[in-house]
Amino acid sequence: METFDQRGGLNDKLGQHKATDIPANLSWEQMGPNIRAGLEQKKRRRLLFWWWLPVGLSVTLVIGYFSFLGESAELGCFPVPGQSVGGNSAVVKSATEMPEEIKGANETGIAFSPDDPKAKGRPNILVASSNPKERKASVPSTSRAVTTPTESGPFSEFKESQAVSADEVQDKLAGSAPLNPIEALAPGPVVSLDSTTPYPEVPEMQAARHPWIVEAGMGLAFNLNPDVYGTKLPNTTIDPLSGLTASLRIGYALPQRPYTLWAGIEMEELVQREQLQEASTVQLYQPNTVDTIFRNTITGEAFTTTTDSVPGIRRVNVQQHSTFRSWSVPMLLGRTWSAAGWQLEGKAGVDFNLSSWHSGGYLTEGYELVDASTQYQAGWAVRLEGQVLLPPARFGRLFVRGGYRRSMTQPGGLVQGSTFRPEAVGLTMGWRVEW
Amino acid sequence: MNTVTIIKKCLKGNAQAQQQLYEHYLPYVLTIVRRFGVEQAEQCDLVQDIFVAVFQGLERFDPNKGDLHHWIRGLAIHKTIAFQRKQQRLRAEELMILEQTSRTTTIDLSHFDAEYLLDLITQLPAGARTVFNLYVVDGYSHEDIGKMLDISPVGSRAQLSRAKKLLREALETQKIKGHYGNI
Repeated sequence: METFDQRGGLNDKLGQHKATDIPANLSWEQMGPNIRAGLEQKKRRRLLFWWWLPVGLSVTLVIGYFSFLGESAELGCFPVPGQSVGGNSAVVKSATEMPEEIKGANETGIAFSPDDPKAKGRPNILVASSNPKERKASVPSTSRAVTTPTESGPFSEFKESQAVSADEVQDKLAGSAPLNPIEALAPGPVVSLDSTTPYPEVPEMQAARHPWIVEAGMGLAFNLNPDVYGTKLPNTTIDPLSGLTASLRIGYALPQRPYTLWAGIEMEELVQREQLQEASTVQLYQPNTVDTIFRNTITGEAFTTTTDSVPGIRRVNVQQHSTFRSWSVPMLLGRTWSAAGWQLEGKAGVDFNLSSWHSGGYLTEGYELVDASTQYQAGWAVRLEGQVLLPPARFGRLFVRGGYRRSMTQPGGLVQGSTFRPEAVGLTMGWRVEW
Repeated sequence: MNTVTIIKKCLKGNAQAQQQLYEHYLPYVLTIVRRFGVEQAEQCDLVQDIFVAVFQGLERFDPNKGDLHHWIRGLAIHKTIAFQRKQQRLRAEELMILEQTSRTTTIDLSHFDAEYLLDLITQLPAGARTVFNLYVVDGYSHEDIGKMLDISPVGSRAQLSRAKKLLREALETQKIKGHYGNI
């Protein structure tokens, strides 16, 4: 007994039932091309997905390169006495440059580098030696020692005191194993720097990055998957929703941090063209060929008929242009990595926008405007951007920016329902000026 | 041509094989689409979506785990429910209506034409119709139905009671000779 009181009770009766009245519009001839077109679209979408994989990998590699091998930011720095300079090559370079006073002392035979062969012949000059056997106690208690600021650690303390006794130096050195051994030379006249000589002036620390930045650029934008149902209309071609963008931004680089705040104004204009083309066979009558003439003998009115015709093709071409225009104010936070003059920036944030969607249909046989309407909408979107900047040139530097934008206030599309998906990717090229 | 051969050819994009598969399973799919109350104007779109999903998902189909008919049927049911939910036909407030079971008499439906029963089912309210189809025709449990429709199993049972009550009333009021079974 078949009842509806048990689970699956009508499975045999209704679950296996086949519809017998198949509508003509569901035949394979009607549906096949659309289904195959839908499959192609899905394949393209899948391809697009896999295409992002190598791109993502490349971006990761670039970010990794800049993170681990590059400088975190081009911040100017001068060694500070008592502080380790670390592995920053720029700092090490500046630290090893000999100040003028020391250079003068060197020229007059007061200070030498440990590798200078002349040092061996000079009396009463404290010289660092790399040979532990040469490390001896210092004899002259009144001698003065100077050193160049080439090392960090206890040597920095020498800089602070400028001149100390050899005993004190030796005491300090005895307790610091990692230091190079110090060679104390034979007693003799000691010439030292005046203790009142000021330490070389330390330049004021300043950021190599300029705090204010202006970027102007133009580029291309593509809407992702603009029309999923478009293929269902026969003889219809739909171009992707794509167009141009222009942007003007001002940024502020946070002092001594690799972060940048951005604001600006951007304009985006995307255009979509839908085209319906149909060709149908018709019989065209030849002019000036007359088969029969009927004449009304009362009124004198004449009718002419002809069967002389030639086959022809009548083409109908209907187009619809839709324009999506958006003015937006982006507010972004950027992170910078730099190496070898190149710079990489990642940005994330939101924008507030005012959008308009203008849609109009045209019959191309007379370029007649059939209908047009414009709708407006305000909203906001999230943005993710990656940007590569070339090494600085005169007046600024060139940049190339790739971005992703997702509107958060147009989930179902602006006016076209599910046919519009407010996700877009863009590629922008422009010029950056810093001051 | 057997099923495995058709599947292989479909995966290679063979249009003839795709046509064979489409024409063979279209009547079943169309019954499901109609049974769940999809309007005629929307059936074309939904059938297309279902078959696009079928052809796309064929590479994941494993003949050892079940036959193609059941696989397509399950896919069509899920697609149809997703379509109905997208069109907001399955509203949450309607699905939450609780119905007390009033009668427990059993109706023997063996003598009823399938078309006639399908016609009665499509006249049910969307929530009750969906649950009735899923439970009585397709054999899903109330737990599964609850997950599919985002309602509780209790809500699913209530909708089923409602559907049965409405069907009984419809059968009692339409005492057509040859269509009416034993109550």
